[in-house]
Amino acid sequence: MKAFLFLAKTLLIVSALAVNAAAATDIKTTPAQGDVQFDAIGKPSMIKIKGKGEGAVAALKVDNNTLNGDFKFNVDSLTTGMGVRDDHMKNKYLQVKDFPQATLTLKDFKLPATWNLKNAVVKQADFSGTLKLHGVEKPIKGTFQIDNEKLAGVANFELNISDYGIEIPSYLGVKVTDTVKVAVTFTEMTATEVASAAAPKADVAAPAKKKK
Amino acid sequence: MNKFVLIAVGFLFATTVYSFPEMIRHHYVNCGACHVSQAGGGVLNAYGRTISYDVLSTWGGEKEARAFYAVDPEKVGTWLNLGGDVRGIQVSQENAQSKTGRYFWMQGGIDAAVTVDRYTAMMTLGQVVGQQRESYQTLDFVSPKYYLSAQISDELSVRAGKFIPLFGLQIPQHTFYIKQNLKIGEGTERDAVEAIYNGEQWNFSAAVAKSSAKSAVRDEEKSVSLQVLKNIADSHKVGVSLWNGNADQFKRDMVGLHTVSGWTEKFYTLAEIDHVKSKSKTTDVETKSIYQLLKVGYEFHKGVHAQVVEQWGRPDLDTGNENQSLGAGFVWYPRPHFEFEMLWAKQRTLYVDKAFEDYAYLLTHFYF
Repeated sequence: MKAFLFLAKTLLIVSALAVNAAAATDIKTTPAQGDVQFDAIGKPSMIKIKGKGEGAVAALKVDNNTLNGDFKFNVDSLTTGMGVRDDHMKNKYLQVKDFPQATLTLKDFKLPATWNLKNAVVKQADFSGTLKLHGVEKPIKGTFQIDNEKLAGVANFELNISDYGIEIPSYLGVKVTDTVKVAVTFTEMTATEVASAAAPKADVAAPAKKKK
Repeated sequence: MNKFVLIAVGFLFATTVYSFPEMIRHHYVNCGACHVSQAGGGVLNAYGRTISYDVLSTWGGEKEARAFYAVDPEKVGTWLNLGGDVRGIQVSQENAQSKTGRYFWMQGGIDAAVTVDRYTAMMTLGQVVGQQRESYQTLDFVSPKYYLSAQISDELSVRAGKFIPLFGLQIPQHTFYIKQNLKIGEGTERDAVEAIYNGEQWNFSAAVAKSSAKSAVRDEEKSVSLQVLKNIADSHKVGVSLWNGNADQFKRDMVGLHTVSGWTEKFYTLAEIDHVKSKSKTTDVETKSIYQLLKVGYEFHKGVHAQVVEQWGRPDLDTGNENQSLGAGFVWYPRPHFEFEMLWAKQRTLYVDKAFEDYAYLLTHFYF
């Protein structure tokens, strides 16, 4: 009888693990599946500088209704519609040859308890993480949202370029303000269900509780 | 005076210069981005020189775009801005009764602006004398436009001098109904004080002014004017302009609505509609008028624009008279310093002739 109970418990735990393994989701994107845009202001005259680059490459994981992962972005793909400005931005200020990539890392972004790939919408919510730009990594806060089942969405945040060791751009009397708004947008993301890397004990125990 | 001298002095004619509001399609929401004046128009600043070759023109380079092809802002600094304009136009008009064509100077002259700390002094030298319908034009070595301005903050500036206060669209086509009939176009520069707030989302301007009887207003009009503009999504602007004027022979109130929209980086529209209520002090007759403009442009190759221009006007709302014009053409900025604009239009004034006449112009503009 003891052997039977042990076998039954073991089977329950294994099946619980299997259920949790299916709950993890990998989310990835290619540069074609979105874009990265920034808004800066040149003073005086409030020149609106709008930059746009290819989409960020996302490598995210949803596990236990928590989103973690990073977005890697090719800084050299940024353009602003003005050749001289692009040249200065990339070579003089962002120094893309030395720092070609920026990385936004999301940490422990809580998804709704009901979230799954068929119910994927996430209303705009605050995220925290880190941003590595120009070789400097700093904590960053912003908002993140998922708009539909294709996982279209956007991460918005503001940064102070001086925090990242970037000289405040200035050209012929026009000086860019320190604060820059950034939007990392996705038209869709590719999701794959995978085995959960580390199922928390509470989750393992959950099905057993159901059995009671 | 022989022809050679006439041509030489022609380069010193000067009147008002305006900015290109359609640059909003590149998110240049305020004219002061490229011009020394926060109100727009006139001498370019060093940044505007860069825009002239990098964004505006089909071809060109940094050295070519310099003032007089020579002034290097990197060496001289941004305290000194020089420039100037020569603008001429060939006009042709054909109807059942007549066929006419003529060429005349619209403007030309030298601009100089000196900035020390937050203060800027700007002056234009040279002015056209003689109406376009006269057979000849001469020049007068006076300054039709000058001002001293103080940049109080990044957003707020105040200027005093002789210029045209802001009202409606800042465009160079002074023969458009919205300029010609409002007496605020070329030749109406007046003694004025103006405060301008160019914010991130809002623009405000307020001015008091007094025109000269020697100007194109032909009366001493004391005026108060206001303009409010809202920036929408960094690619559109909607504005309201108000004008109250009181002259020896008339008084008037004007209200204008205008929009500048960059729908894409290539497609843009400019629109304005103005209501004018004026009263003659000699006859006591009150007249209400409406004038309207719609310009649609598309830059199908860098620096080359197709344009459609539609105008409509009712000079007196109590009568059935009406002005109508619909035309198409192009604008080309081949290289820094050069601008060509052509428009061919069908137009009519109902009380003169119900038939449409052909009207066309080719404008040539060289800016130093």
